[in-house]
Amino acid sequence: MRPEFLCHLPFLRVPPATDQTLAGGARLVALPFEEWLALEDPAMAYHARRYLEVAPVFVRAPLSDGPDAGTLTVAQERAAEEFVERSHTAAMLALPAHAIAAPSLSAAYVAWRGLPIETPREGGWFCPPEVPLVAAADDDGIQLGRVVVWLQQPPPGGGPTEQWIVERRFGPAQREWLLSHYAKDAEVLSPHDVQTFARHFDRLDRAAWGPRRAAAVRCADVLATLATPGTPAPDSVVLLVAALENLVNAAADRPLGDVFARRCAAWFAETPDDRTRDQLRFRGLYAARSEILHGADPDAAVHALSVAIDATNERDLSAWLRLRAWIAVDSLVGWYGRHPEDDGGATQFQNALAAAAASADASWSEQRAALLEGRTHVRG
Amino acid sequence: MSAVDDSTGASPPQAGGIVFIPTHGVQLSGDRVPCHGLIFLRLDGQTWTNLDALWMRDQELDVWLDRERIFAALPYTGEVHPQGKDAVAPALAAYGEIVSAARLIASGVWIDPLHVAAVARSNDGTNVRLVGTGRPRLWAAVFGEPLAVRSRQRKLGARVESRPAQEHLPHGPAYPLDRESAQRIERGIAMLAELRAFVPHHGWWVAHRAFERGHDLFQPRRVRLTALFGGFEALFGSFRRERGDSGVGSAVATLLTRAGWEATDPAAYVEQTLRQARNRLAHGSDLTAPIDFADIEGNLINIMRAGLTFASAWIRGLHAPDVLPAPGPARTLPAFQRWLGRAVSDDA
Repeated sequence: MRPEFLCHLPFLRVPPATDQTLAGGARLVALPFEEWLALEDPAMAYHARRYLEVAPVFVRAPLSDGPDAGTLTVAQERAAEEFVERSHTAAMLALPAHAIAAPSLSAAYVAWRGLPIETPREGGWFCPPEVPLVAAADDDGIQLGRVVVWLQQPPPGGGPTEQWIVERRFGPAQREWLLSHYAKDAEVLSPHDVQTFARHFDRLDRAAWGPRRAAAVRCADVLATLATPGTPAPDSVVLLVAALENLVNAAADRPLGDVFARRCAAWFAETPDDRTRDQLRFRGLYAARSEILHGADPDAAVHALSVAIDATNERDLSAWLRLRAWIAVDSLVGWYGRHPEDDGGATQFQNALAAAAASADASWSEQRAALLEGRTHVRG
Repeated sequence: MSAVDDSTGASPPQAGGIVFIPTHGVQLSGDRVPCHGLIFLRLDGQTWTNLDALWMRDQELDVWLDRERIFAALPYTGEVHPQGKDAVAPALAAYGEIVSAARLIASGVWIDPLHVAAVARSNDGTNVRLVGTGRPRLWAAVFGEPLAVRSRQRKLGARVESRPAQEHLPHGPAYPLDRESAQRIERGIAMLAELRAFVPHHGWWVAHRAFERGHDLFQPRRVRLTALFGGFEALFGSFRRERGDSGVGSAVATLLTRAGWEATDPAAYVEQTLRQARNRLAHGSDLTAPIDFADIEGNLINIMRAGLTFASAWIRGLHAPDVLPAPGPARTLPAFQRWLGRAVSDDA
């Protein structure tokens, strides 16, 4: 029995009738109310107006076959988790200027449809008396609650009564972002945005993006944090350096600041001139991180960094930091798509980057082109 | 994105009322416990319904009207701007200081000020609520013990739902609050203010912000743990061991001994269990090895709490007052790590 997984993408809207095919048999859709209601508590019928105003967007994806309706296997759980992860990262890559709320904060559903109709017992019950308490397999996730229900209902669009089992999964927002009036003021994706989302989702699928890509996913986590309003600039600096250093100098080769700068420049620069300039900038970034961690005035450290990168205000600095995090994620997605055998620490990527960074400009350009093949962004 | 949910529709500014901050996770002993200018109190279900929209009640759980809700309250005077922020800001500021101090005193969940859906209720019954992308109401969140969800049949039209009895797992431990712990929190607030005045830019604050981020339930546990490990390494030094270095496990054991904490072989726990978890998060190592991240999160928070508390006392000269470096900014975190026996390079 193949269940379907549906994951809400909060605060996004798509053009009417959008049904964008995604990798892995998934689709990006504005889920019709009738289909959502079929997953929900019958009392949610009273919230039709609210739901229709918000027009929530979902990624819906088939999961692999499993032995028991109502319970996901470990492999199915991992696949569901990766759909959530890829949906979030694809949205961040497709809409780099926006703060994207994590789908794991909102609602998701697992649906087993078309099950044999069970004859109700006394009192009309057709579910088991209880379901056991099971700790969520996603133990590094964010779920707040799960409710499993049995439903007998005509399917959306009509037809004979079917029996379904639905597991409703709720993050902290539960159904609030499906139904609140403020959620209708969402970011509207253009048809081009939808296609860009689909393209990134496909790349993430090929990269087998998910917790197993730990060092790369950490960059995506930092990208999400940097896009969160209210993140202090000194914290942004420390978080970005930690995520990048984990990829450019995991072995802590000394001197730390110089190695960090040289390898980051080899990664992010487009030309030999950029490389020289970027090395100074990343040295400034590392110096700011060290000043902040060692107790200097963080404002002074941030100001010095701003001067080093030609930022005239905190907004410029924030954009500079976010763009580096975005480029890191984009290039790592490309890398893993071509090197699926690389490990969670991206060891092969690190070695290739270290070799490129140790090379003279001509050789560096060649090695870097191979390193970043598959990325979508080129700095102008 | 933020918004205001004015449940009675557009209305002119109102004079005076009470700001209510929902304190999910707090388990209150007694009633009307004062702390740092706020009053922690319990509202019965019926009173609570006056503060939230009716549609919020009609959600999954059937316990709305049976449950008491804990709030932190602060009266306000004057008029509430339609955005509500002028009345709510002082309450959220006080609440934020309470949360920071409370986390340094004991385990348990406090929702961050930037995530609480505070309500300003005017004396004439108008509610102005802060809601938005970061401020869901969280009413069905569970903290402490698992919450039993009763079995239920529900029929509407041709649809029948049959729900078995089940339980909601808690998302974190409850935080017990009574008058005594409220006083400890107030002393903690004073300590933080003293430290802020003494060393406003100390690296301790970076570790502390990482500790705070590690409590943010709106982040996946993976991100919380990464933040906690970041703060842990800022405080105790890197997991990487240089030549002649006793290692981070030894530093933690030394601190716990000096602080008078009893723990079973903390050095081995840090070097083995925490190191494995840290490497999983940083490098995706040992993906098939079972790791109890919830347990690690709790232990890491406890170690961080001990470390931050002890380090703040050391920086202020309450420990080793006559030993160089002198109390104050010179007592940096690398100096703290050396004091705990680590060989720390200046190139860190």
